[in-house]
Amino acid sequence: MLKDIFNLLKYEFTIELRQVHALGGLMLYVLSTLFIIFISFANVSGPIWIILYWIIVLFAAVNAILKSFSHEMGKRRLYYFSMVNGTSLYLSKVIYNFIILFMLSVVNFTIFGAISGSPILNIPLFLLAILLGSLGLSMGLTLVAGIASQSSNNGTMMTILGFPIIIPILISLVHMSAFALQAGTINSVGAEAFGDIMSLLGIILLLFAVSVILFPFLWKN
Amino acid sequence: MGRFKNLFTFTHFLIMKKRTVLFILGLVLTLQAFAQGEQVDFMRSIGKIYVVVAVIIVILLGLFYYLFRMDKNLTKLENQINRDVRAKK
Amino acid sequence: MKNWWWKILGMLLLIYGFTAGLLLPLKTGITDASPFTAELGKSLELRSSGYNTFYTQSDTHRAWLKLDDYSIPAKEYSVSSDQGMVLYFDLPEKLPAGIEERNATLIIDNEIDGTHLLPGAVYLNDLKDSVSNTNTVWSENAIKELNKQEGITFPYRNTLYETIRNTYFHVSLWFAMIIIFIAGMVNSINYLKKRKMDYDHRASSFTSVGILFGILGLLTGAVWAKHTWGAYWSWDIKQNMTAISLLIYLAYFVLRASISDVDKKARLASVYNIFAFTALIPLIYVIPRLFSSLHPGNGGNPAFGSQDLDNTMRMIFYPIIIGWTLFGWWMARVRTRTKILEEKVNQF
Repeated sequence: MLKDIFNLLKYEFTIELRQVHALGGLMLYVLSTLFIIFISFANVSGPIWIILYWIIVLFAAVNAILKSFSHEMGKRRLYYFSMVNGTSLYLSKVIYNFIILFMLSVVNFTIFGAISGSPILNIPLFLLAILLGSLGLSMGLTLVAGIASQSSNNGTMMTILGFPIIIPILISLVHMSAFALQAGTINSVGAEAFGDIMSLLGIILLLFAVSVILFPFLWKN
Repeated sequence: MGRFKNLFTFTHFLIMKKRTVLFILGLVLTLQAFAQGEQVDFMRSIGKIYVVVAVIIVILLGLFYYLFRMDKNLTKLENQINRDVRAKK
Repeated sequence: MKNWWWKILGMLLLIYGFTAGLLLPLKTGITDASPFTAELGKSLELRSSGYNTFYTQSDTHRAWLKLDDYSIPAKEYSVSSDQGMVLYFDLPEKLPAGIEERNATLIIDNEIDGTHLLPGAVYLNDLKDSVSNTNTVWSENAIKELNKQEGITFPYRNTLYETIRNTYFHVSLWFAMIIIFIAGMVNSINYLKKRKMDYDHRASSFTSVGILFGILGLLTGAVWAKHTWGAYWSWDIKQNMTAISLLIYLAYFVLRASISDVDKKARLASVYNIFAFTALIPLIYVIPRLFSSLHPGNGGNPAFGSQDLDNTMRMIFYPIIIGWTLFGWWMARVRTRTKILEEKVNQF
C-alpha cells in the first residue's frame, strides 16, 4: 500500500512537471488576484490582510484540488481502478494536494507580504497556521472534489459542495492567524491560540477519518 | 436528466422553482408587515405574546407548505398510474 | 395499531407541549419602575408595575432596594391596582462602605405573588446640596423569610416576557432537526452497506424534512430576534453557523439534481451526506465556542445553562423535542413511501 501511494505520487508529480503550464496557471491566478487586491486596497489593515490572504488561498485550493481530479475522468480512471485500491489513491491525492497547497500558500505569503507589507509579526505561528490550513483544506476538499468530478458541471458543484464544508476550518484559521499579528515565538502563544490549534487539529482528524472511510465508496461503482 | 449541464440550465432550475422562491419571499414580507410602524407596539403588547403567535403561525405555514408539496407529488404519481392503466387497456 | 403507536405518541406529545407551553402562566415580575434615578439622602417615591401580580389580594407587602448584600426596606406603600404599587423609600446619605455599584435592585414580596424583582431598577446619584432629610442606614443581609409563589409557572425574564415560550417552538425545532439529520445519515450509511434504493429514499426524505425544520427554525428565530434583539438577522455566530449548515444540506439536493444515473446519484449523495454531517459537528459544537453570542449559554456555549431552562420548562421542553422528532419522522416516512411508489411505477 505504501508502495502504491509512493508510485502514484511519483506519477502525479511527473505529470505535473511535464505540464508545467497547469501549475504555472495556478501561480498566475494567485498573482493576478494579489494584483487586483493590491490596486483595490491601498492600505490593508492586519485583520483584513489575514482574511484576504485566506480567501486567496481558498480559491487557489478549490482550483488546484479540482484540477487534480480532472485527468481521471476518461480511460485513465479505468486503468487506475484496475491497478490500485481507493484508500491508497485517496492518500496519494491528499498528500499531493497538501504539498501543492502548502507551496502555493507559502508563495502567496511571500509575494503578498512583499507587495503589501506583511502585518504578521509572529511568523512561526503563521507558518503553523499555513501548515494546518493547507492540511485542512486538502482534507476537506479532496473528497468533495472526488464527488464533484463525477457529477456533471463539476466546477460549480465543487464550490457549492465545498465552500460550506470548509467554512469551519476557514473561520478557525482566520481566528488563529489573528494571534500571529502580535510579536512572539511559537512557544509564547497563549491558551487561546492553543485552543484554536487543537480545534483545527480535531476538525482535520475528523474530516480525514471520514474521508478515508468514504473514498473507496466513491471510487468503486 | 442531468439538469445542471451549464450555468444557463442552473438559473433555469432556479426560475422553475419560482413558487418556492415566491413562497419564502411572501413569508418574509408578511413578517415584515407584522413588525412595521405602529404594529411594533402591537407585537410588544401583553408581554410580547404576539411574538409567540407569529412564531407558531410561521411553523404552521411551513408545515402546510410541505404538505402541499407532498400532495402535488402524489397527484402527479396518481395521474401517471391512471395514464399507464388506460394505456394498458 | 402496531405501526401507529409512535405517530399517536408524537401527536400527543405535541398537543401536550403546545397546550402546557401556551397555557401555563409566567412567574410574577416587575416590568418597570419610575423614576429610574434617585438622589441619595432624599425620600423616593417609586411607582412600580408588576407583571402577573395580584397586589390587591395580599394584605401585607414588603419591599427593598438592594445593593449587593446591603438593602433598605420601604417605609410605606400604597397599592393602586393588581399591577400598580407606589413605594416610599428614605434613601441613606451614602452608598454602603466598599460598594461601587449604583444600580439598585427593587425587590417586592408578598404571600400571593411570592418574591419578584427588577434588577437595576433605580440608579442612585450622590447627594447634591449636601442637605440630607433622611436618617436611614443600609442594613446587611436583612432580606429574610421570603415567600414563594404557588402553582406551576415559567420563569419571568425582562425583555423576553411571554416569548420565553418560544423555547418550545423554536429551540426544540433545532434539536429535532439534528436528530432527523442523524437519521438521514444513518440511512445513507445503510445504503452504502446494503445498496438498496429504499435506504437512499429514506435518507433524502429525512434530509428534506430536516431542511424544512432548519428553515422554520431560522425563520422563527428571526421573528423572535426582531422583538428581543431588535433585528431579524444580527450576524450572530449561531445564526451564521445554522445558515451554513442549511447551505450544506441544500447542496446535497443540488448534487442529487445534477446526476441523472439513479445508482450513481444514490451513491454520491450518500457519501456526501455522511461527509456533510461530519462537517456539521464542528459547525455546531466547536466554532460557536470561539466567539461570543447573543444566544444563551456563556461564550457561545451550545448547551443551555441552568439559568435558561428551569425544571418546569424541562418537563415540556424534552417531550416536545420528541414530539417534533416523531412528527418529522412521520412526514419523512410518508415522503419515502411516495418515492418508493414512484420508483415502482417508473419500473413498469
